[in-house]
Amino acid sequence: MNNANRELHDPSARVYRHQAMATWFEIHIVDDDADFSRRAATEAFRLLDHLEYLLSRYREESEVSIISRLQPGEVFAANDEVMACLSLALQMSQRTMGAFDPALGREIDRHKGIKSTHATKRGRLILDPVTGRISCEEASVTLDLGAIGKGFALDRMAELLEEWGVGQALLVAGGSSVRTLTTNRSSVPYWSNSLSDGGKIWLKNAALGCSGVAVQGAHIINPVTRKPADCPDRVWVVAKTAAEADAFSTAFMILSKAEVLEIAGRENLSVACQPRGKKVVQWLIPLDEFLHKAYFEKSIN
Amino acid sequence: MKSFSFFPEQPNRRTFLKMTAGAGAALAIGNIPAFGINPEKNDALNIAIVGCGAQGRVLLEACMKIPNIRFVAVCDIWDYAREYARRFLKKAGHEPNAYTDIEDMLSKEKNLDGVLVAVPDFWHAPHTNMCLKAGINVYCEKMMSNTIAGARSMVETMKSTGKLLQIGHQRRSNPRYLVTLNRLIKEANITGRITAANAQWNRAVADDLGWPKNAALPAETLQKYGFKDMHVFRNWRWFREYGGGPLSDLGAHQIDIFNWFFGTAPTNVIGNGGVDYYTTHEWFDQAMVVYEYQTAQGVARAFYQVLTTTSAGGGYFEEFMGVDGTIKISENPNITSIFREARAPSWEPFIRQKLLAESIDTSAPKSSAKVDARETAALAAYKLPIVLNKAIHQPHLENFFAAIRGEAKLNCPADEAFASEIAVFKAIEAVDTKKLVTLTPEEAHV
Repeated sequence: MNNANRELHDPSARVYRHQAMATWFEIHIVDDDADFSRRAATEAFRLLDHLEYLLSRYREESEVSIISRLQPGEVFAANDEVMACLSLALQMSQRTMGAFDPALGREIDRHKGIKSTHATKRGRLILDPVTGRISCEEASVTLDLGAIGKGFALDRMAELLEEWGVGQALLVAGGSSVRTLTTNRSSVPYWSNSLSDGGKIWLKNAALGCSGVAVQGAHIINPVTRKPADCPDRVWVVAKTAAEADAFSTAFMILSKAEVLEIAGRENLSVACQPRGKKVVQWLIPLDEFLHKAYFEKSIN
Repeated sequence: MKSFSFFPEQPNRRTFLKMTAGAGAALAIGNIPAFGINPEKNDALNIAIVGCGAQGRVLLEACMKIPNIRFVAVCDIWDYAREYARRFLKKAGHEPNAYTDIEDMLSKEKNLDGVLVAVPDFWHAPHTNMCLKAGINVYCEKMMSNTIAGARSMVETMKSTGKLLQIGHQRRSNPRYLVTLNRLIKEANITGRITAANAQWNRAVADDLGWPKNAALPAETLQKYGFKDMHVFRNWRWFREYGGGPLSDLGAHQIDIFNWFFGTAPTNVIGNGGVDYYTTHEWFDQAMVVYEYQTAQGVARAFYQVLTTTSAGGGYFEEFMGVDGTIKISENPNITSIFREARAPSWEPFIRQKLLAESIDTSAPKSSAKVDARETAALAAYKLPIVLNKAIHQPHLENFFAAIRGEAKLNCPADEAFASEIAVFKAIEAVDTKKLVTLTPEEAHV
């Protein structure tokens, strides 16, 4: 687990677990009605399975796989969720100056020793969020949404739980992506999450994303060199949504300190880092400098 | 605070900015015309959907990828589901009218070319018959009905009205299944005589479905449409009054593949199963049945298993085992594989024809030209080189719409689906009675 042994602030929370996207997902719900909580979690997991079916590049029939096979001139009518995730991925690429790159599938395959059947030339996909259509230019693009997909799923699951009437929930993907849901029906609005050095942060309607190489080894690809990046052991980002936290944490693994500071300041993020081979967690932008206090508070040990 | 120590050789900002703004950017925003309605061709179809639950949503999503379809109405007794569908369609540029009651919809929507029926099984026959009698073509989800009489009435109404009735066995329009049956089995005969088949759908334990707070239907609405309460409304698949249980919900698809590939209905079936795990369900949570088929090549037996208590065993697939080879096929391409028996003639010609892809396990020797002592060789495995670049329900819906336009024949008309329907009912009877149940050719046809 990358970042956290979760400590629930409210021990009455009910916990539900599910496997998807090659990892485990957990939903913690605080609600008096056990049947309702369980079934709300079941519905959120159904949505998760549907998103995996759409977004996984390891399923030949997924929309992301179909889009990755598009040849120049071909057009595909994408599912709403797929278009939303790709549009956000494009946004995140721009907001991180290209350090977050959703089109590194071929390079990731090469790093894993998987023989790729995709084109060697890097092409371009044109997205039209209004018509929901995607076209391919120049050459195919091998998408890999691994650095945003889990966070995107957590955000959508949190929306569904809120729509269902869940007042307070914590959603976790693989220990590396955390999203909290707090509403005015919440009895205890904050969830605590502990970092690898034992420090705790408290989240209210916020998300925490962690990228690291301590568990999976050097697997984060540098979009410029197209090779595994030399990066710190871990980076944590607190953002408003889990998708953003995931994408920023991946991008910050390969950006310089000055660039991270610039982006984090502009985006109102909190950022922590565990340098290579060190135990200590360093806060680049500590939580008490975090600007969105409306949905976030801190307590660092 | 100690200095923040990122790695020393990071790319600089200028490099990244160039990537996002220039040729390096893999994604960009642009304008791509919508499918829309082609005013020049004037062949847009006016479609309604009745039943906007999970399966209805699957159909809607697939339809959004098909040009020249205009959704003019959505109908569901549950406002939560109906509103979802209406909003979904509106976002995609459709302007559907919303209805609670199908009779109300049919009385007001006078220009419907087709209706998609995705309501609970016990409403399939009444709703489908109603639409057909109103002169509207129907795409109805499987099972056709929760009773044999209901399914039979649908075939009779289809025949008496002359309208189209496609049953939602979507594998029948899937090019991967079509190539497997028509090219690999019938034309190339790569399996040799098929003596056995095996299919399964295994799913992990799942909780009953719930509903959002404040979204429960009023008791009088539930009663009006035949539901005891909200729990039954949401979990009708598990109750005998409304559906056929897992042998029907999951098994119907795969038992239909047995019939389709063997070209006939089974002659008898034995079975076992029961409500072994769940305490709130009426239908079996696991069932295993064995059919006997009298095929043109001789007797073949087909084992079918559906388990709703475990996801072990490789998910869902259908497997046809012949004396020369075995084809294991699934809607999930990752599960699909083809095995050649050592006695079979070379399959190299089929690879050259691109009917098969290269062996997955290259360690297996391709010829016996020389004796080569080594560890026990696995059966040679091949892949099906057919990729479906569409949602899995899309080709079947496209077939339905093409048939309405007179451009195609239905791939699964109700009279053909009925033979599979009756095979499922016979399997349920076999599990219920624990006795051999026979099926005559007369019973399999209307």
